[in-house]
Amino acid sequence: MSASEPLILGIETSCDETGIGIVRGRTLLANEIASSVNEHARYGGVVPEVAARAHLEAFYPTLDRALNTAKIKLSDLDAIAVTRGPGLAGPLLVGTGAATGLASGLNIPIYGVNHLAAHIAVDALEREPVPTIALLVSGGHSSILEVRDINSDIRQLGATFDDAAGEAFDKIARILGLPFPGGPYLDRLARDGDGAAIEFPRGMTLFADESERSEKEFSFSFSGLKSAVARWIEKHPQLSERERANVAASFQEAVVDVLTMKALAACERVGIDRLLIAGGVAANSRLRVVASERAERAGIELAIPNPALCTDNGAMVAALGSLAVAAGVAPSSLALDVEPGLPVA
Amino acid sequence: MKRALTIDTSTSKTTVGVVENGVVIWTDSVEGATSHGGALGALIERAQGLDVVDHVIVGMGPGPFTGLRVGIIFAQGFAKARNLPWIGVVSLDAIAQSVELHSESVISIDARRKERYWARYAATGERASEIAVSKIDEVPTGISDQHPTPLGLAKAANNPRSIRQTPIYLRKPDAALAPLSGVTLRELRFFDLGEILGIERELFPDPWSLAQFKEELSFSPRSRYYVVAEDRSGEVPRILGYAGIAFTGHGEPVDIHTLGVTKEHQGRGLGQMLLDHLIEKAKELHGSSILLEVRDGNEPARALYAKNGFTEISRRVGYYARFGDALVMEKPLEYYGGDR
Repeated sequence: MSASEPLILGIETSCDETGIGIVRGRTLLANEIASSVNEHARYGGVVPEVAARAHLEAFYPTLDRALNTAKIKLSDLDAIAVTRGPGLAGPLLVGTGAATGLASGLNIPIYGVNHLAAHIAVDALEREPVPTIALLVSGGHSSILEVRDINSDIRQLGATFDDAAGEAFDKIARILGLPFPGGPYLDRLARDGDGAAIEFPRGMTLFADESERSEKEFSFSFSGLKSAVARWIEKHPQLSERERANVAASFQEAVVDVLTMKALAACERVGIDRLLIAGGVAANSRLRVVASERAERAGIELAIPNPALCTDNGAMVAALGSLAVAAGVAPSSLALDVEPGLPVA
Repeated sequence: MKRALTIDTSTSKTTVGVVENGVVIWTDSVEGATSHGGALGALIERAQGLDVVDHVIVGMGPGPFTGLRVGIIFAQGFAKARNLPWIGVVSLDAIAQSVELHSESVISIDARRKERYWARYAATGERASEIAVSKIDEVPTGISDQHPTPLGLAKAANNPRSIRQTPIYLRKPDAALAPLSGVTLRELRFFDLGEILGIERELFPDPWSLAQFKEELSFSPRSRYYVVAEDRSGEVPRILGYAGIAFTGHGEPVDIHTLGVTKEHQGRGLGQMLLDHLIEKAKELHGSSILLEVRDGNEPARALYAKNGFTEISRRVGYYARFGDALVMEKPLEYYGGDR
């Protein structure tokens, strides 16, 4: 780390986590998070207005914690990066409001960045950035991306036709009576089960003809799987603990199977022998195991960020901002507006 | 403190100003309710005289939430970046200081969903009621759709009664406004009093004591009738509201002694449910009319009673000891006379 490298603040408020990260160059100095997830648990899902109110309350205390951890002052900052989309409009506006207020007070540039690209950029805090295939899997997104350059060259090879992978996890968890957010609970329950116990369908893996292949080869669909699991549970109303664990494990196996199979096929098709798995679902233990086994067999280098950097956080936004500054990308205007439906590419 | 940066996003207009010693040095605004996000940054980029600003003043609402928050968090960020103090003010109070009031007036702004935020103001511009949100047709006519000016914000910041640290939402997030199912009315029982005293203290500046409640119940059923609204959807039943009347005989007025709903559950029809029940009961008792006292300033309650045909018949000065006057409201009932 060199003191001459730019010091960047990253702000992430696209959903229910208030994330503040600080990086110098590609060195992580702070990554503080305040989550309103417990408030949302009462509703069984994220409520935008509840999240936005929580962001406003948590924002400056979280910023103060990050400044303390990084041992810097606001006036030391060289630039501010903030998520401008995709995400929930009300929560996003709290982040951009804070970012523009701080940047105009400090007279420093601001970078409005893409939340999905930030999930990929976070890897630069742990490894040298190189061209990669990225499997981006979270509660809101599931896609396979060809990333030649994080600032200028991202191509989407496929995405989900319906539910995001994390969303499917949450919904099945709810059917199984697990608390919200269901992903981590389902992961834990599945460890006691047999992933081969029940044969659940793998979506978008069979093609009627070649034209369908090009459209669906790197895309996902989890709604069929979700219905299959729900139907199975309806038919077996008196589930033993063991059977519940088997349902969780078998469902998880079906998701992980499709995700890793398609992501590695994309590496082969595009001719990039590196796979990065990013987003909240990258914290799933079974996905990590299966991906590393299969990547090793295929001779593909696998990168998965530290779990704390996989879920929504401010460090990833700071990382992307830092890469933008290093590449000489022009900053955003202070009149920066949010874009809830911002595409990754 | 000399020079203020003023920001307000509580109405459909985003306004930025630079004010020094009661003089506006620079101001500009942008119309459009949904564009607070980009508008604020664009205005700040153009603003003049920001270098020597030594405090920030921001409107804390009430106002549509999303835009309101942008203004607040922006102002806090600007102040934090420069290590300056920030002062949050009630936006309606700032409007009162922005327009010329010639007499007591109601000031209201759009709250969306066919509702308005409003409050009552003395001719001096001093607020004379609580801040409320009500259906459009329940808001008294007055000054509507004005915006806080930089000067109005600066004046409000000099009045301690107008200063707020947190945003004024007045409404729960939509999700919490899910219809209340599983709420039923039943008669109040002695062992409910512990739970009710908690609500009483939350709601009223001059709460009844346990002894007062006990005395009231001692007259039941001869001349008192008390009910609770109870939520039975959870594992443990929970009391969300209560109300009670006193009555004497046929052809006599019935007096509403109390009616309250927990703050958390207000605005979801429970007050109406309790009031409907009391009105029915009063009719059963062949009351000639229903009387009640409401604290002047308790606007949501006044609005509820007005909507249900209650009119103000007199004012009891100093009725609520330290908390101001009571307004006596009355709703006549059809009285058939004799036994029926």
